[in-house]
Amino acid sequence: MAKSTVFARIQSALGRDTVTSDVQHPLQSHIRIQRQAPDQVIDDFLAQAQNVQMSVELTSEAEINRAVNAYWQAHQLEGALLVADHISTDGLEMPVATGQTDGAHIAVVTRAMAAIAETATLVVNSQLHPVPFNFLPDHHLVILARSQVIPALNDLWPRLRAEALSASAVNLITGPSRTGDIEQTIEIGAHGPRAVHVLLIDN
Amino acid sequence: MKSQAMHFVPNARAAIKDQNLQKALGHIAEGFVGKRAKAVGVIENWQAIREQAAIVKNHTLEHLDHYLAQYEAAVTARGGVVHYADDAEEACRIIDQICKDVGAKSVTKGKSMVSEEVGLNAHLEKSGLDVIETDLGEYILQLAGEMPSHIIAPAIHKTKEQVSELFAEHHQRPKLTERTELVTEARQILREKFLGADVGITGANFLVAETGQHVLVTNEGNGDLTSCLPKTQVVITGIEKVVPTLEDAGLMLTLLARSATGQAFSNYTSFYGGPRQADEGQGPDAFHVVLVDNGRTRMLGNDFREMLRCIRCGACLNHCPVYSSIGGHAYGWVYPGPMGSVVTPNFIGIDEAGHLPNACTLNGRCGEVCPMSIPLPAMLRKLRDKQAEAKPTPFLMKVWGNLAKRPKLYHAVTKIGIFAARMASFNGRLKVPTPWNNERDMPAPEGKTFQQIYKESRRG
Repeated sequence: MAKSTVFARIQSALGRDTVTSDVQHPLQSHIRIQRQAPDQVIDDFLAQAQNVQMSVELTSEAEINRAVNAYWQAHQLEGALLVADHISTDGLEMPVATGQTDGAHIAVVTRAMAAIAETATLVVNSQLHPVPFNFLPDHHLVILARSQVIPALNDLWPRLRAEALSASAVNLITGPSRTGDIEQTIEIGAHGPRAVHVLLIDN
Repeated sequence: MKSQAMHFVPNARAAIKDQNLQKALGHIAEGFVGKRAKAVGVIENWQAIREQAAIVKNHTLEHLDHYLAQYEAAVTARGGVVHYADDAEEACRIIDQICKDVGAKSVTKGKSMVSEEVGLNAHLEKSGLDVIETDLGEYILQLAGEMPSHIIAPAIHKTKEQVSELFAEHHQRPKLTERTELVTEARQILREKFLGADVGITGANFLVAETGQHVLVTNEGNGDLTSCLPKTQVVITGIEKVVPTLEDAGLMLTLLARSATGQAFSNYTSFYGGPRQADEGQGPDAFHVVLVDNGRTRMLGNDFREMLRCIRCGACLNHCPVYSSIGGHAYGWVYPGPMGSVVTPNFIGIDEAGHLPNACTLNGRCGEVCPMSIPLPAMLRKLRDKQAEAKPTPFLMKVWGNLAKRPKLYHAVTKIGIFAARMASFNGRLKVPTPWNNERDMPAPEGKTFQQIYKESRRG
C-alpha cells in the first residue's frame, strides 16, 4: 500500500510515529495586501479591469437584455447565444440556447457570484452554470451587481464557504484568455474567451 | 524522466553557442524580470506577505501527514478518489489503470511539471493512448519532441520562426508568420482535442486540506477545459502542495502570479474538487487525485526541507545569470535554474547531478526574489559541501591549506608566486594555458599587495 509507505516515510522524516492530534494553525489572521488604490471599491474594480483588457458596461437590471442585443450587433455575432439558467431571455433578438454547451455557441451570458476589486476578478461556480460556459464561447458576458464587488481576495473565502462549498468548481476569471508562450508576447484568445464583457448593474 | 544532468558542461557550452536560443533567452529580461519588479513594487507589505507564507508552509510540512489526511477525507466526501504513489513508476501505473478502466483512447493534458518528472506521457503512449498537451508552450514542445526548458514558460527557448516551421510541418497547412495566426491555429486544432478527450489530466498549484479542492492556475484556460470536458478528471501533483485553508491558498496565490509572470492575478484561478455534483449540468463523472512522493519525503527529513516550500513560480530561473545564459535544457532534467539545482540532486542523486549546484555564481538574486523565502544560495553551497566531503581534498588544496595556517610562510610564498606570475605575463595578462584561461584572461598581479599598502599606511 503506497499510502502507508508514504505516511510512514513522512512520519519518519518528521521524527515521530503517529499523526499529531492537536494541530493549531500558526497565524492569528491573514495579512491583507497594502497598495495605493481608489477610495471607492467600484473605481478600483474599473481601473483594474482596464489593465486586464476586460470591458465593463454600466447598466441596470431592466436594461440587461437590451445591452446584450447591442453587444451582439456591435460584434456582428452569428449563431446562437448561450444563456445560463435563471437569466431572463425576454427581449433577446438572437436565437437562444440553454442547458449545456459543446462549443457551438459564439457567446454566453452568465451571472457572477462575486467580483474582487483589487484584481478585477469575476467569481463564478458550477452551481450557477456549468464550467464549460466560462471557457468554450468566444464572448463571455457576465452580469454583476455593484453590491457583489468585494475589495480583496481575502474577502472571498468566507463567501466561498457560505455559498459555494459543495460546488465541484469555483472559477476566478480575470479578463479574456491569453498566452505569452511565443516569445513572451501576450496574445489574447488562447483557448478560452477572446472577450470578457461585464454588465455592471445598480441594485 | 531520464536525466542528462551528467552532461551539463558540454550542454551548457553548446547552449551558449546556439544563436536561436540566445535570441529567445533575450526576452526574459524585458519580459518576466521587468514585469515582476513592477507587480511586486506596488505591494507595500510584500515582505510581510512572504513571511506569513513561509510560516504557513513550514507549519504544513511539520504536519504534512495531518493535512494530507484531512485533504483526502474532504476529497472522498466530495465523491473523488485519492491515490498515493511512492515513485514515478507507481504514479504512471495508477494513471494508466484509471485510463484503462474507463476504456479511454484519448487524453488531454494541462501543464504539469510532476507529470514531466514521472515521465507520464511516454508511459501512456506506450499503452496506446493518444496524449495531447494543451498548454500552448507544451504543445509546441510535444510537436518538437522536446522537454520544457522553463517551469512556467516551457517553450521559452523557441523563436516565433521555429514555432511557425513546426506548425506548418505538423499541421500540414500553409506556413504562418504572425504570432496571432499561430495562436489561432493552435486554438482551432486543440479545441477538437478538448472536446474529444476521454480523460483530462492536470497538475495542481495547491491542495486545500480544509475543503478538498485543488487550485489550478493558468492564463490560457487550457487547464480548465482539460478539467471540465472529459468524463474522467485526473490530477497529478506532489504531496508538498497541500495548504491548510482557503486563506492560506490566497496568501500564496498573491505571491505566485506577481512572482511568476508579473500579473496581479493569473487569468484563471480555479478551485476544483470531486466529480460533477447531482445538481450540476455538465462536468466529469469521475475524479481522481494522484499524490506523488518520488523523493519528497527524503527532502522532508534532510537539510533541504525548506525547498518543499517552493510554489514553482520560476522567479529564481528568470533572475539567474546562469539560467539566462544557457536556458533550461542544459540542466539535463525536469527542473532547471536555481530551484532545479537544489531539487535535481535530491531527486536523482548528487552523483548524477553534481554539476548543477556548481552552475551558480552565488550572486544571491534567486534567494532575494523567491516569494517563499527559500534560502537557495545557502542550499546550493550546502550541496557543494556535500560533494567536497564525498571527495578527498586535492593535493594542492591541502598544501594551500597548510600554508594559509602559517601567515609568515604564506606571505613569503605569495611573494615568490607574484614574482613568477609577473614573469609569465604578457601585456598585463597571464597566458598560462589552463581551462579557466581558455574562456577569459587572467590579469597579472599589479603593484603592491594589500598587506604591503596597509603596513606602509600604518607607518606613514
